[in-house]
Amino acid sequence: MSADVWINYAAAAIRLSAIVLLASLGVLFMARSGILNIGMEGMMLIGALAAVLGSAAGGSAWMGLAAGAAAGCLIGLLFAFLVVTTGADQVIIGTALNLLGLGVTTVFGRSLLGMGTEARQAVSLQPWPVPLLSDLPVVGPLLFQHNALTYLAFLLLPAVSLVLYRTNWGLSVRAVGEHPLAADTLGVRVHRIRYQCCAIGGVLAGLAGAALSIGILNQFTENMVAGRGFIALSAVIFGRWTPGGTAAGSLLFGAADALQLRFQTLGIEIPYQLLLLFPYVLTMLALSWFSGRTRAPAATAMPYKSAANRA
Amino acid sequence: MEQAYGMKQQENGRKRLGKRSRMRTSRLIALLLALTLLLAGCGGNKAAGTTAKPEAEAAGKSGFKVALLTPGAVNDNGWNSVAYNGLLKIKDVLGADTQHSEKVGQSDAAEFIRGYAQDGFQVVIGHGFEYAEPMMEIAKEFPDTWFLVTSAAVSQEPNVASISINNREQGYLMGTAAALLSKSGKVAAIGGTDIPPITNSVAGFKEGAEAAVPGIEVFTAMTGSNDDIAKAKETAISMIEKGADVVMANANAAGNGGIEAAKQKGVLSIGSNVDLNALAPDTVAVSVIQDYPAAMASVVKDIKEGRMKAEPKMLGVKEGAVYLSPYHGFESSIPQAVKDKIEAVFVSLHSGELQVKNEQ
Repeated sequence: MSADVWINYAAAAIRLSAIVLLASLGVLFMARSGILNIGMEGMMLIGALAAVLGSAAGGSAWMGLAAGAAAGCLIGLLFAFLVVTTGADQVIIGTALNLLGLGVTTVFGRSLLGMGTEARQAVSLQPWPVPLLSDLPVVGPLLFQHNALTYLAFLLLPAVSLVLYRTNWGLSVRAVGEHPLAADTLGVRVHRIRYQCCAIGGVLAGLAGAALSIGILNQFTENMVAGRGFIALSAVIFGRWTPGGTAAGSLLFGAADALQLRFQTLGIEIPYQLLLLFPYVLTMLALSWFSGRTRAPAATAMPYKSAANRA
Repeated sequence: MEQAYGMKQQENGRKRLGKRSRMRTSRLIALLLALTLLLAGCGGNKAAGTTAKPEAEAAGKSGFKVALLTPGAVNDNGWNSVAYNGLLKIKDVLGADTQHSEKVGQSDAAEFIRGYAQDGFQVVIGHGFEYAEPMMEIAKEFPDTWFLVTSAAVSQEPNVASISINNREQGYLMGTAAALLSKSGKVAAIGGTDIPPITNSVAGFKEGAEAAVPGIEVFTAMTGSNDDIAKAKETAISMIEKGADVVMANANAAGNGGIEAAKQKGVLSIGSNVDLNALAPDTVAVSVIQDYPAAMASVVKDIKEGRMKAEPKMLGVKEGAVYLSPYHGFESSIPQAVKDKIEAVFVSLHSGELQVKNEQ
């Protein structure tokens, strides 16, 4: 196989990983503050639809991104209100959010954008080759000929690492996720931190949705997230709740997915049903391999009532 | 796995919560779930929200009631939307009162079928072979209702019949057009889920392309999903990067991803199932239409006029159920010789000189 084939393959893996990475960094923020978000799928769908609406109305892909992020933020805050303020069960609210996302986007997608081939199309986010760098051999096509959200996903990775491990706020987030009572007695506003993390998680979910609807395509199709919200959650668990590990999980999944698509076109005589399983089997194997050492933030999925308000 | 983990943590969490807040929480959850289900219901399937209302007026208007069940959303530019168009046609041409339920999974199918039969619908159409079994079972209880299964070759006296489109012919025409339009000698066909209408059209594509241009290279792949546009797009990109310059994607909504890849890479695409030119006017050179609307309307007309027999029907080019769309913006740019060759294949399929049959 020529070098080109491998470069093309790796570029596809990066494109497919970026969407999962954006979403999983969102899940990570929430998880580190002790919030289990299984509603990522629904949040992404809402972001995907909002991005198309924003892009179609505003006439530019950037308006779409802004709309996707804003809708994600709102839905993140709604989630925070339900699980932080009212202390509702996070698993149930997350499930409800997935159902809500599918229902709401179906209804509003059809009523606002129309149906079938007449459905309104939006301005899509074009690949933006980085000047100079994109002309480099090998590295150029591999890393510097993607769209803005792909760059953003990979640039966010060190930023998230920095924020979580090198800032006071990041320390508070981690403390809240491990032992909210202890954090509270030291003056950390537990609820505020969790709200902030939910808002960030929502924004990233919205952007991940936008990466699908206006990054990959130029319109909204129902259920277009197709399970990536759940994969993002498993990438976080796979990565043992660290930014680096999460990114590795996203990349692994993206790479496996891109690989099985290539296998099919190479004409290797393996039934394609087996190839389709490949990314999932790989994820399961990886999870079982690492499961012995995984440890979630101790306060995961537990509502917290502030020390002052305890009866 | 993560769910089980969450449950365990939840248990711990609950123990720490006070009794009052637990009650408040559960009430809130109940309210929220109800709300969500209501909303999801509106989007998911219209039957829940709309069957009750039009019943009365339906009976009064014409008395001929037709119901349709589809496995997916009716706005998918593919499999489900052709059935919906068929229902609209039945409504317009035959003046029937129509109802539809979308995203009806196999586990719910019996419920919906029985429901429509009990509500006095004369015809219940299940759009997909997966509805055959429950229909044949339920049909025995409702001898006055016709049960029609599409994409299947089943029948049962006195009231179950089926219609299928010769998707192999559809694929054959798409492959012919793709091969003749290709300059690189490489063409690509992508399928979504592994179901007969899609696998037949992909297989037909390969045959058609190879017959039209001997020695042409045909890449084929199945993505396993009719929702996952990203996967369809990446598959198409990988094939274009291997040299394919005409791409066909038959994966309902996800097929849009294949067209988007062709558009982005500046190659051509062949539309499947409905005329997809409007999605990308400079990319979709021609579409091969499977006219389920016409097929459904003609069969339902037979039912209405009492001429229907309980038998499987296969419709193809000859019956006018498979044909080419206009070339739209490509009318002038495609050489007449190419159009003539495509037309010649169409004519020989029409006359029966060329035989291409579905594998059932």
